[in-house]
Amino acid sequence: MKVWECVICGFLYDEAAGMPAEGIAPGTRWEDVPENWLCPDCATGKHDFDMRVVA
Amino acid sequence: MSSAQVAPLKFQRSTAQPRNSSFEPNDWEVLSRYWHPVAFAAEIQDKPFSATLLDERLVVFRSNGQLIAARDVCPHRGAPLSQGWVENGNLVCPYHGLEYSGDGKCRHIPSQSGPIPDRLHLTTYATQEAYGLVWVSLGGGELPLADFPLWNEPGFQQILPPFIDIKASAGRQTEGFIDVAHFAWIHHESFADRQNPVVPQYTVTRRENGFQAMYESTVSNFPKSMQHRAPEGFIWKRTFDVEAPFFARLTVQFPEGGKLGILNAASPVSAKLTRLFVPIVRNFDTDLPVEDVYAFNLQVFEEDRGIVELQCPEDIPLDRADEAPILADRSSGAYRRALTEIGLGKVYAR
Repeated sequence: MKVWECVICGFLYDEAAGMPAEGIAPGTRWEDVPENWLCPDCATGKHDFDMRVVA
Repeated sequence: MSSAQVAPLKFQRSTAQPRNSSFEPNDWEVLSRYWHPVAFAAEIQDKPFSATLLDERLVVFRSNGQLIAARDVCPHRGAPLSQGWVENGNLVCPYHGLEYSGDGKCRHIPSQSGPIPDRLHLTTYATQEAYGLVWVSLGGGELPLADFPLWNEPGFQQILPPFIDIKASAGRQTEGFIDVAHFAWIHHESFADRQNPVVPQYTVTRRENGFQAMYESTVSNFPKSMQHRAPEGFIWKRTFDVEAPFFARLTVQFPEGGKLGILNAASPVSAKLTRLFVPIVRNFDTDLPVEDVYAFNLQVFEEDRGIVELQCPEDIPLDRADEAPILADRSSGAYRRALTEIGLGKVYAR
């Protein structure tokens, strides 16, 4: 499981936790997050996320 | 009866935050490890020069050519050494005439003869000359000074516009320099255009201590009076290379192979005052007067100053919950994280 960080605002997407409130189940890998998903804090797309931690 | 044990006092003050410092103690300690510019190297000649860095008052002088930066306080009775003068390579205190040589030791006390106590010794700091500037590190200077490789490139003209004092934090100023969405708004009279506000997506690559941002757009870098020189539809490439805390290089590709290098070297005089040095190099228009570059540089940074001095809070917020980024802020997002990673806290000063 990995953690991804939005390069613009620093929002973290944790694969283990997912984002159940947005319909992304815990354990959803980053590549399986829909391509049209937007960062909830700054509205950027998946392309502006960098992998931050490999856990 | 036991006699008191008295250890000799040390002459060298440990690196410590000055009295009345405007920085958070942790931030001061972090910033003290880095190199910051305090003067133009060519201006340090036969007179002591007064500067302030991180709230510490400095005297900068040359002793037989060697550059020295010391605390601007005579260890005898606290007088400002920068008000003195240099004689035979010694810095002379204006109050009682004590003389200090380039290694910081007192060499002469006019009012007495005989031995000179070791405690009469300047507190000196790591100093070096680079890019036409004098750089000082209050915390020992063990980290390398960041590189500005174009400065010594053959065929490039070196230009040193006068410094600009800005009543804002160095972080806010530096972040303004790397901001690409403000061109159309703040700089619409100098080089940009309110009809061209869209920021195309650009790339940011994290580097050790900072990042590189590559920005391509149709925003000209010519002053308005020269914009006819760019071909219609020319794509302007700007590369920002930034090292935390306050070292930001911009390389701009001009038409016909021209290249412009700008170093935004923001010196934190205090948490609320920045002395901005901007060494510039170019490989074109080298026959044109440098005064025109000075004037354009001043115009652009004055335009920024009008906003940067009024931003609230004064310090760049490093908590991601503060302020709300927009898509153009890739580079400022990377900048704020780089500041966090070198150990700066959430605020520089309250």
